[in-house]
Parts: sequence; C-alpha cells; structure tokens
Amino acid sequence: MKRWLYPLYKKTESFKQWFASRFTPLGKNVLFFCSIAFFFGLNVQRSMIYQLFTATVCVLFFSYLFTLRLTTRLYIRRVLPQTCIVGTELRYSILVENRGERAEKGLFYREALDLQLPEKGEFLTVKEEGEERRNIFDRKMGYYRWLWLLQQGRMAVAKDTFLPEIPAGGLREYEIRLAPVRRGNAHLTGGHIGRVDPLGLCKSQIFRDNPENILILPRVYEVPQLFFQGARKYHQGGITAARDQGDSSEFLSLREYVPGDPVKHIDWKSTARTGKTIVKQYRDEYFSRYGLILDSFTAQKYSAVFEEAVSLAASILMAQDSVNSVLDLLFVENECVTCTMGNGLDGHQRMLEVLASVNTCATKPFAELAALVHSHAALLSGAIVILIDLDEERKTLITSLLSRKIPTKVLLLADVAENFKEQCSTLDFPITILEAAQVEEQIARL
Amino acid sequence: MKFPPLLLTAALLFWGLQTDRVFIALLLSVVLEGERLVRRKYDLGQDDFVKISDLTSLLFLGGVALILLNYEPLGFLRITTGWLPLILAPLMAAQLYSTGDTITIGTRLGSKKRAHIHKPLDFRLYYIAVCLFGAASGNSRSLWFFPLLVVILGLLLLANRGRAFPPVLAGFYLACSLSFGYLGSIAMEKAHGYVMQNSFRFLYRYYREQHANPFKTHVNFGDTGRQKSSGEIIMRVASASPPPLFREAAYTSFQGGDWFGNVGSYEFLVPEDPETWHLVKAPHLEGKNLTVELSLPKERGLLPHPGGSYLLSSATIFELEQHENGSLKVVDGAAVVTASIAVHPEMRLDGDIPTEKHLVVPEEERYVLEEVQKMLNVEPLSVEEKLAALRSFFARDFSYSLNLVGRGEYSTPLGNFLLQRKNGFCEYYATATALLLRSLGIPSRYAVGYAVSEWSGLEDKYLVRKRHAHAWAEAYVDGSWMIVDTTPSHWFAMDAERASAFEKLGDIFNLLRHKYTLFQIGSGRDYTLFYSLVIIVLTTFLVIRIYRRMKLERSVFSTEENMPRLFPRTWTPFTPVIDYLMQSQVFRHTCESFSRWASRCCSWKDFDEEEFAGLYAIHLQVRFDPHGADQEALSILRGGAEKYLKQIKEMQDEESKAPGA
Repeated sequence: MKRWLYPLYKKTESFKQWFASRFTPLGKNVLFFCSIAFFFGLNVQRSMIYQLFTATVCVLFFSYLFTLRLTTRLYIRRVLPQTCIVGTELRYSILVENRGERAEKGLFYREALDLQLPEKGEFLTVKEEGEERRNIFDRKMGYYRWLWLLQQGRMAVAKDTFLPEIPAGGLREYEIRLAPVRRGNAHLTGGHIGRVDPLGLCKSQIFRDNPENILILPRVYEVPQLFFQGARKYHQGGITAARDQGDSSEFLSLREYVPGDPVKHIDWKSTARTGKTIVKQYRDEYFSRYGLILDSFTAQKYSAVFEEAVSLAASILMAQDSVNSVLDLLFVENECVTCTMGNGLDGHQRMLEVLASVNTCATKPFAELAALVHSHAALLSGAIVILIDLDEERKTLITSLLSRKIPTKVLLLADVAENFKEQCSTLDFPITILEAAQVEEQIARL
Repeated sequence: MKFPPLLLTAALLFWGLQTDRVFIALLLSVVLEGERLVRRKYDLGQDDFVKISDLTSLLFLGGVALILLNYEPLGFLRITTGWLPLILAPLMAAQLYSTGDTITIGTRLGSKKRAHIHKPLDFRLYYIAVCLFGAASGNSRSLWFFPLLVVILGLLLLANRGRAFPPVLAGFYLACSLSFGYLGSIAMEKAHGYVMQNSFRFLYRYYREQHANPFKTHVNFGDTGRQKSSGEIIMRVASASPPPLFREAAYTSFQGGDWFGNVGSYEFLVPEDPETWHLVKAPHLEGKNLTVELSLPKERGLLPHPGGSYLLSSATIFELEQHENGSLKVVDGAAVVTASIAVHPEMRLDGDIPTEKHLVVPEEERYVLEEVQKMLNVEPLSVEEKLAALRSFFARDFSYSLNLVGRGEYSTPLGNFLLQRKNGFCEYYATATALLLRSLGIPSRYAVGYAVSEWSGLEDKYLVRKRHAHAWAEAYVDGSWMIVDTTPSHWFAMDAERASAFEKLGDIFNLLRHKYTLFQIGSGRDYTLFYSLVIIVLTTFLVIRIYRRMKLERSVFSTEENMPRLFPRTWTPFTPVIDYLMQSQVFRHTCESFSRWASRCCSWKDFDEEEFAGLYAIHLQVRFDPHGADQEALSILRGGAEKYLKQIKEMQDEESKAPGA
C-alpha cells in the first residue's frame, strides 16, 4: 500500500509547501473556517452559516487576487558564517539593495533551504524509530514514517523576517535568524521575498537565487575533562605527534613501572635498590594520547541514539585539553577513519567538522573498527569508547583494550537504560549507560 | 496574529444577540475581558492546561447529553454549536488568565500515564470563530447579522493587514470584498430557492410518504421495495407462534401505478373501557393473545395486526379509529405503543365485504391481463382451482429480485413484469395477483403490512424491521377475505442477505433506547428534568474535583509581571549624540559594541573609538548608577559631547546643502 501512498504524500507535501508560501497563518485559519462554513451552510434555511461562508470566501478571493503580482528590484547578499551548531540559533546579516525607483516597504524575507523529499526506496525500507509501537493502521499507511523522514531531511528552520522600508537606491543590512536542527551540510538555495496583502490573509512571494552552504556542527554538552590514572605521562616520544614542539629530556622523577613504559627508560640502579621495576620520568612536551572510539554500526540510517553518540563524542573532544594531550578519533563509515587533534595538529573546529558529516555504517562489520583500534592501541594512553549497542564483538573489543592495560572508559548510549542493565551487570569491566533523551543531565556525572 | 481590544467581547455579544443569550454573553464578556484589569496571572503549565481541556470535554459531553435529552436529535448539531461559546469558555479563560500567550490542548482521559497533547495554540481566533458559528446557528434571520459580522471580521482583518498598505486602502479593499460577500449571500439564498423548487417534484413523493402521510391513504408502486434496504426495527411481537403476516392497510383501486382506497372510511372506535377496544363485535371465539410493541415516533399512525384480530387492549393508545376493511389507525398514542391483541382466524368484521370497486381492472393494464388469462386458460375452473392455477403460474415461471433496472418493452411496469422480466418483488406479485383475480371475476384487494418471522433470542420476541415490509393480495372467497401471497417464499431470506454486518450491534442500541422509552412511558412521568439535574450535578462534581486538584498543584499566583522594565529618561550632555545615532538605519550586529557601531553610523571627521566608549560609559553611569558620576567625569562627558555634537552639526549642514536634499 505504501508504494501507492508515496506519490500521494509527495504531492501533499508539495501542496503544503505551496499553501504555506501563499497563505498567512490567519489566512490558513480563515480558509479552514470557510470550508467548515461551506459544509454546514449549504441549507440556507436552517442556519445563517452561509453568510459566514460568503463573507470569508470573498475576502479570501480578493486577498488572493491581490497577491498574484509582485515586482521588486531587490538584490540580496548574505553574510554567512561557515559553521553553526545544532540547537543554537544562528544570527547573521543580509545586505539588501533596492535598485528600483520606488521605496519598498512591508516586505519580509525568508531563507529557502533545500529540502530533499524522501526517496521512494527510502520511504519503503527505512523504518521510523518506534514504529513498532504504532497501531496497525498507522504502520500500513506510513504517514508518520513520511513525516519522520521529512523531519530527518530538514536541516534548519527558517522564519519570516520583516524588512523595514528600503528607500529607492538604498542599501540596508538586516539580521536574519536560522534555527539549525540537524548536523550536516545545509544548502541554502536562495531567499524568498514576500509581501502580505491588505487584508493580511495571503502572501505574494518571489524567489531570489543565492546558493550557499553552511556546515551544521553537532550539539555540544558540558562534559568534565576525562583523564586516566596511571597514564603514560612525562615520557619522551610523544612529541612525534606534534610538529611544532621543542625537544627536552630534563629528568623529572622516578616512578614504578607501568606496563607499556619503554624498557629503555627503566632505571636499573633504582630497580636493583628497591627490588621493584622503576622508570625515569622526563619533563617533556609529551602528550598523553587518547583514543575516542565512536561506534557507528547500526542498521538504521537515522538513529537518535547515534545522533546523541556523535554529540557525546563532540562534547568529549571539546572538553579535552588540546595543549597537553592528543586525541585520536576512530570510527568507520564507508572506510576506516582516524582523525587526530591536539597541540600543533588539527583543532576542535576540524574535528567538529568531521563529526558533522559522520553517518551510520550498515555495510561493514564491527570487526573493521576493532581492527582499526587494535592497530592504534600501541599509541594510546587511554581510550574512551562510545557504544550504541552491546554485543559479543563490542565486549571483545573492550576486553582486548583492557587486556593491553589501556585504561578505558566505556559509555553506552541507549534508548532505555533498563534494556541493558541486566546485560551490563554480568560484565567484568565498568560501563556507563546514558539514556539518549537525558544525555545532557547524565553526561555531567561522568 | 493581532487581536484588537474588545474583539472577544464583540464576538460574544454578537453571539448573545443572535441566539437570545445576551445575559450569558455579557457575563462571559465580563469574565474574559476582566483579565485586562487583573494585574497578576496564573502560572499554568502543560499539565494544568490538559486538566482544563479535560474539564471542557466533560462540560461538552454533559452539554451533549442535556441537548439529546431535551431536544429532537435532528437539531442536535445546530443546538450544540449554539452553546459552544459557553462550553469552551473555560479554555479561553485559562489562556487569558495565564502568563502564557498560548494554551496546550490535550487529554488525559482514558490514559493515566500519558496525555495526548497537541501543539500550543492561541485559542482566541478559534474562540471568535466558535462565537460566529454559534451566532449563525441561532438562525435569527436578522438583517443585522451580516453588518455585525462585517464589523467583527473587519476589526480582525484590519489589525492584521499587510504593513505595506495604509489602513484606508485596506479598509476600502475590505469593504469591497465584503460587499461582494453580501451579494454572494443573496445569490446563495436565490440559488438555494431555485434548487429547492426544481427538486421539489422529485422529492415530493418521498416527503409525502415519509412525513406527510402517516396513515398511508394510498401507496405507490415501489413504496414497499424502498423500505427493503433498512434494517431498522419498527415493531416487536411477543407470541409463541404469531401469524406470519400483519396487515397494515388494504387498498381497492389501482390507478397510474398507485393503489388507493385506504382513506375516508375510518370511524372512531368506541372503547369498551379506557384500555380495551372490540375490533369485531361480540360474541368472540376464544383465540390466542399476542403483544405488539410498535414504534410511532410521530405518536400516530397505522397499527399492523394479523387477520382475525378481535380484541385490543392497550394503555398507551388513547384514540383509535378503524377502517371498514379492518385497518387500525392510532390517532393519539405514545411514542411506543404496546398493545395486546386477541386473534382467532375465524373472526370476521361484519362490514368488510367486497363492492364493485373490488372487481375494477384499469384500462391500461387490460392488455396484459388478457394475455395472461389466455396463457392460464382457467375460465371453466372453480374459484379454488383458479387460485391454485394462479399460484402455480407464479411459482413456475417467476423469480424474486429487488434489482430492477432499465425500461421494458411494454408500456406499464405490470406488463413488463408479467410478460417480459418475470422477476420482481412483492409489490409486483401482489398487484399482478390482485388484478388477475379481478380479471377472473374474483373480488380482490391489495394489502400491505409486515412479515413476522425473525426471532430474537436477545429480546425473546419476534422483530419486525423495515425490510420485512410486504405486500400481498386478498381474495374474497366463500364469504371471507383470503390471503393470496404469490411472492416466492424465499424473499425473506434474500432480503436478510442484504442486512448490514453491524445490524446486531445496532439492535443492542435500539433495544436500550426502546427500553428507556418504555420505561419513560410506563412510569407516566417525564424524567428529562431529573436526568438533566443528575448530569449537571455529576458534571459539576467532576469539574470541582479537577479544579481542586489543579488548585492544590498551582495555588500560587505568578508574581512575575510580564511588563517591560522602564527607566526614566535621564538627560546627559551625551544624550543628543545618542539620539542622533538612533535615527541611523545602519544595522548593529549581534555583540557589536556601541562605539564600534557609532563609528560605522556616520562619516566622522575625528572619531576616537576608545574615547567614545568612555563617554558612553559615563553616560550610562549617570543614567543607572545610584551614586551617579563625579564632577570630573561629568566635565569629560561635557567636553566629549561638545566635540561630537559639533561634528554632527557640520554633517547636518552638509546634508542640507547637498543637491537634492
């Protein structure tokens, strides 16, 4: 049935967009009341609703007639930043030049965003989150799935901005607000310039082509800085990760050997004296190197849990000390990806840009991520693993990291924490479960 | 969306005037507009709004129940719409007396854990619309209706007009539009009149039969067939084995597709006692009793009864008339008539004898009757043999069907039935039989009534539905009228196959309603007032419960007043500079400092951003610091202000000298 409904929903959405572009909120309501008055006012002897119908239908008709023609010679240039953040209102300005011979007033401006309607295949195969909880009628009709897919494709929400009077030949600058709702690359195709008719019911609108892109970065929460006890600090060698650091080998102190410490730093005299393996520490521009491992393996193309996992990863890397440590971001999308952030390397901004574009991986096995982590394990002083599911493969990865004595913090994102509590109680490593809906509150306790 | 002041009051008064509820409208206006006088408002959350929504739903359901009890079901929608402004007033008041601009409509009824919540909305527009629809449903036919409607619509539309247009232009445009609206309403009235007039002919027969002819003075061809699609229960018969056919009326003359003859000869039947009537003069043979419960929504109509009925007892029939052919007319009765009827097959009405009319055959049907007569060839046979031959003729070649489409070769429906189609429903069989009997010299008549065959285990009675309507012929043989039903016997089962799948469910509701009506009639009292009071008390109780719960949770008034913080205008030497800059149309960026913006506003000859920022800081200190600024700072401010004012004056002079200024 969905196969037949797809063109209907597509047409309906196009109609809705046209309807929204031609009628003001008051106009929409008046049209609604007019339709009701038509149905209930047919019998002119039973009630006087027909007079309501004729009055509303005439004002709507004349309003619409008035909006059929709009000519302006306005030219618009956008002053747009390169990036913005999900959930944080973006404010930027536009420069409007009136090249006409008369002053323009009563106009409003709205950004036109490229809204990709769901593809037919996508509509037929991709399931809405929580669709199984809907009743059979809703599941068969798939309307909620359609709405959900539309919502997934909507990158930002634009609203009408009123433009005060622009004199003939004048150039004015106005502030525009845009609400980013999803991370990724948002394409602004241009802007709509409109005017409301004298009765405030309909709008006339023209489109000004002005394509531009803006990268929407993932949402970032407040996260405490994570570090691991017994990490490999104050050792030579880490400087290789940093291009612009000087070299220093000033002795700092002695401490007990920790697995992973280079054998050449063992102080044999002290070892002989104390009977314990002692290593030397140097005051060096060495950076602790952490791995931030992001699990992207889910069959769903759009997943709220994965979105929160990305936000969590972004929050963690934003909170990390990029002066005294290096952070490797490891994930698998179409291929294995490793990005490194730290002093002298790419900064927070670059990492956020990478995270803004990361997608789920449904075509590759989890083993690819495991192999990537294993290949990097020798470099890591600690690891933060963000999981979106818990199965044997994932458990094996954590166990192998712990067996290499790499301090590991495991964060599991879940729809409902209760679903994993029993499974987690049997694990031999600590794991923190965060509920996707309450990440902001729970993340502060990390 | 903007709402001009007192628009709600205007809409409410409009509703009150049009529906004669001016007092209620005034009261509601005072309550709703009173929010302007109240300085402190309730801080209502989503949960509170859901409770108020539930409260309004209860009021609505209570209102609906009261309307159903007190008014005819036909006008239910119109009357409910008329009361909606009062019913929805709590929601409107909740929005106006809360700190927010919108309300959240939702419900927790039926689900304790999760409320169904819609998007927040500004309810004012919907409430105004409800008032307008309520006013229109009053159907006052007042000439003031449209002008008042124009005023309310005009106020709303002018307040929300496009900013590019002056009020005068918008007003003119609005006046033009609404003038066309008025002409449109006149045109709609005319069009309605035209459609009604032209469709009258088509609807005439329908209305005549359904509403204007409760005593069925005549029937036209197809009346019984039209009832076949309805499963509505109209009669219940309590008896172990009732006669299969209950006659409602009998007709003598057939003309142009109509049967006539059930008019004129009804006579008032004198009761033996207030609840007993002798249908046949005593002495009576001892027969069996059956009880009939007949629905008579108009409290008058024909009473179907079996042949041989001789005694009728009923406490719910107040006046009865009887036709010379035995048909009974309830002239005054209850909405549901319960009658006990004594029946013996041999009891006959003395005056029910055939006349010459019972042998008249219409000229236009003579050709077909002669044709059939030739086919039957029964002239030499006895009356009983003729009847048997007729029955076998119809049983042999004819079938039952309700689906008769298309025109036949013959000029009359009867001709097409007997000579071409050879299928039809009871009316065809009864008419053909009655006329054939007459052509064979046997007095006959056309009878309509109901077949009593459907047993209901639920009610322990026989049910008679509309689709059980039946027609048959009666022949006068050996001094009495004999039923000659030639319709194929499986007609009842075939009609039952067309029944709706939800018929049984409908029967349950019908039974409940029937029992309630019987209770109402049996008690002899009108319980409407009592039930109305019960509904009012229960609704009030629930309303108080919800309100108390709400008050427990939100008993604190919001102390926050949504008033902008205003500061007195304190003049400093720097004020004229700021006033001048404020007139500039240069856009100030978010987070841009005042001094940076000032530097961009004008083409200063001598501008020091740091100095300007310092001067602005002193200006703010003078305005907002309770201790003010010291003399030294003030002298710096004066000096700086003079410097910039001088530059401003120069710029203004240059502007005025510029060509085209």
